[in-house]
Amino acid sequence: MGALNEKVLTLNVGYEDQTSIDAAMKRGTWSRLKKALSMGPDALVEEVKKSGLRGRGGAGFPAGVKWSFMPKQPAKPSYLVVNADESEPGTFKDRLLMERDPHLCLEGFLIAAFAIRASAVFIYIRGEFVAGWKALDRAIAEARAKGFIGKNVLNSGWDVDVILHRGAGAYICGEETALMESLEGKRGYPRLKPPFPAQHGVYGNPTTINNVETLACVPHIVERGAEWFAGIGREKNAGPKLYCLSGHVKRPGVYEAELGVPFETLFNEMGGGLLDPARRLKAVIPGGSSAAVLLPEECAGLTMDFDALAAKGTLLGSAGVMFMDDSVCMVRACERVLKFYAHESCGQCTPCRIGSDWIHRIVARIEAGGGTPEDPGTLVSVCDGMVGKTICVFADAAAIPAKSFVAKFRDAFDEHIMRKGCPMKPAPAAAGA
Amino acid sequence: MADETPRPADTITLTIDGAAVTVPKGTTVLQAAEKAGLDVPRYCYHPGLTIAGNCRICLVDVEKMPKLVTSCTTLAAEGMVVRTSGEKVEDGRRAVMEFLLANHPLDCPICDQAGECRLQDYSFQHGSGAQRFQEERIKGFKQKSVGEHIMLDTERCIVCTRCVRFCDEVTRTGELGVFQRGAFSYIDTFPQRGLDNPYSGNTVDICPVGALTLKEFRFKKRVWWIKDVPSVCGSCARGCNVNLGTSDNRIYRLTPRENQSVNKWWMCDEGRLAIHKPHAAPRLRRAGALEDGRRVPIEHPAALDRLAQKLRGARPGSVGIVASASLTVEDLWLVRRLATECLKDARVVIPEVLRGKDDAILIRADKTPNRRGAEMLGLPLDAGDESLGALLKDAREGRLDALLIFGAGVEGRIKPPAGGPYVFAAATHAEGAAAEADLVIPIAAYGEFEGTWVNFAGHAQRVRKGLVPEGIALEVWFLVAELMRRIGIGVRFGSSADVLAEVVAKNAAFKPLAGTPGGPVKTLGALGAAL
Repeated sequence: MGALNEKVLTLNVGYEDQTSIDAAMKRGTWSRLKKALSMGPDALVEEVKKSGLRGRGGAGFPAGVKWSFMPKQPAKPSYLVVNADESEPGTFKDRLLMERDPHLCLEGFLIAAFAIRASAVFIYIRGEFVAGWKALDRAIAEARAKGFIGKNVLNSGWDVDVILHRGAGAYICGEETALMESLEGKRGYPRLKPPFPAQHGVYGNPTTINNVETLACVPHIVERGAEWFAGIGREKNAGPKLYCLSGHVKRPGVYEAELGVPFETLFNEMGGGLLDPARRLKAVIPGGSSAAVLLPEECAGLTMDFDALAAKGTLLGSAGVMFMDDSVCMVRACERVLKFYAHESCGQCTPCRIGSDWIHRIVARIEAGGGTPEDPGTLVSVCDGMVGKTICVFADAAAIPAKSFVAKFRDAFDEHIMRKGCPMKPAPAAAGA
Repeated sequence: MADETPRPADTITLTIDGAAVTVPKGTTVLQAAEKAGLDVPRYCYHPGLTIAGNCRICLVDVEKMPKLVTSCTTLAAEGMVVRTSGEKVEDGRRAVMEFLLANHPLDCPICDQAGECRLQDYSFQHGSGAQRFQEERIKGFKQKSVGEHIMLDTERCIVCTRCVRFCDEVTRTGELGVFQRGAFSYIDTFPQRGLDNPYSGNTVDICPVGALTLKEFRFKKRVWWIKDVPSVCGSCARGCNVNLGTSDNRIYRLTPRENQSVNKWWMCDEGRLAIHKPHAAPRLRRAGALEDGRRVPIEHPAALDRLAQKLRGARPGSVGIVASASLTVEDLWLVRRLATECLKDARVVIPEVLRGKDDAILIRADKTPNRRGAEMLGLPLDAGDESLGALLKDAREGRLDALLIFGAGVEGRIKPPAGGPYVFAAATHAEGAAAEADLVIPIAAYGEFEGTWVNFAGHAQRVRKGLVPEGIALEVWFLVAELMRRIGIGVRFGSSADVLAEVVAKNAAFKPLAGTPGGPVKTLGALGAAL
């Protein structure tokens, strides 16, 4: 267990020519596929299990365990779906990988596909990611020309095809079963579970779905071994991890560190501290907007991993870390987060369909000066009516942050209600002056 | 049948609200609760559609599960302990009710669903009674015509998607979809499409709220004044089980009544709307005789006397009877007895009524509800009007002394020649042959008579009356029995049930209805019986 003293996933993202297969191969990309093919599916699954790799999409489910749910003697075709629909506000790590190192991504996809005996890989890429789509599209064509994709890959007897599919702009299609519905050409409604994707996934066939970053770790595990991977990071939180820093930090961007990097390292050393050092850090959203907000004092000494953040009542999620200084109105920030969820709820389940819109409108009304003393209580109670009562966790993703804003910044809500407006908004006359 | 009885190995025993329930494997908790006699609230769940699990009102508490679960999506498991009530469950349902009502218009006073609305019912049972939603309600289409018969109000809609699934799964026509997202989601037809499949009315029945209404029924009657009379549809040989929605001696609507061996939960629009179809002529209200080209009213006993006298004087083989396969088994049994016992060699013709094709759901090309019944009584239907043509030819050529026409639906196809035989018509409306017959006696229309129909698959069912006939309209079996008595055959029946008892006693094909202490009508019950 230890710090990451090198770049792994982002090693080659700085090279302009890394998107071409020849340059990528010169730097070692695609060398791991052959090794993986020689290991065989079962050994690969075991290796990934041993590495402790946990899903980087947000839930942190052990990837190797997920792979092991796939049938070993499939009666029907098995599929790998790559969730490249990165849409969580504050998250842009998969985007970097796909745009700057598509061959690493693709190599990871193919190794995983081989490990689960898949005959096809469906890459569902967020529609707005035009550069990533172009980079992957080119990479797929190049890999196909080299014989990495197609019939009898590298004389292994394994046939595989890769289909690149662009989403159409719905956040919910990043939810794995809504993604499958969308991929099949249907409305992006999350499916009832069970059956789980490993039994009944895309087109009703056994399917494993993984995040891009998760799969980008796989070639490195194949190359350097599970023990190396497991040695990075913290107990049960192994490997390199990409963190997306945004908000009021001096140097926002994607940073690679070990999973469980201390908050201070991330904030001060990587992010360079607050954008305006005269200000004070007010709040941190640690894992994309679906994660409960943290106060600065809660972040002190915190390791940024799945379990440590869960213990604080929040999530590592997609590791989209958003920093807010004291110039931010927390009611307005909450309103902005909830506006997103009100807009993106698919509308399938009653509590989420109505609740996500209702809680947004309460907070918007408070921010606009129309709040009443009952509103914070109603807001929390409406959130409670949403949590855990829906098909997917979208309702939780809207309600839990909302509750955390009220719990941690109750003063701001009360002040808005008392003063009938936002105390931080400059008066119209002052703004004009 | 033995194979359908679940073996112990294929069953599961679970505890619901403290009581042990044993159900087949694959049963959901909701279905198991139903079996235990518990009414778990539901909007999106419908036994005839795939499970959507979206409304979330059927939440129950299952021991060892951290969260409430929807009972419609959760399979019963051995040893499961389920609670369908209690504080945790009620909290969850109250929250769902509050969400459903947040944007819902308060237009119950003008909503046709009021009185049979699950939002009202569950609000009463599980809601809080208080309104916390302070925001402006989301507006939608208040009245959008989405099909020839269907009106949509998206403000009332709770997006349970029952109607969408019906069109996707039952009719497989897929006219409906969900549009937009989140709180702005609404149901609509796809562009350039209308909800005009032949089963569109069912979407209204399965809509748990007042979002979909039938144009033929909306604003016509508050449902709490309606008395449902269980009966059978007469529009084709399927014989879908229906409820006659009656009030102030009128049928306001037909709605399907579940019968798994006939129509499941559904019925077609043609059958549903038959009661709304206008007739060409007014309803016959009393008997009438043609005298000097003018219709003169006559009391019906006198009319029957006159007819009996005509028939007694007829030459052998010179009486033709045209009866409808929409008549009941009881009616036709006595028509046959009249033909064979009272009249010498009377010819009975039952014309076919065919239209369109059988479909894969319910609709039959045979538009008569009792063809099989007629056949079982030895009265085969006249294919292609062959016998009818011969009968009318005889009439034209003077070989027929009398022509008797019984029943609705076929009068229009019979054109007896002027100056030909004496024509008697028992009809509901003064249209077709009945308009020109020498003698007419009004008969009970659909909803006014009772009897037995046998559907195309040999399923006998009871058609019942919910209305008092207009004027002096007689039921056909009664009219025929009165006629027979006047010709000299002593028959005495107090009701159509008595006639059916005789049919069952004398016709082997109807034997399966015998043996119940309550008689054959009791055997038929609400769901009928296979013959």
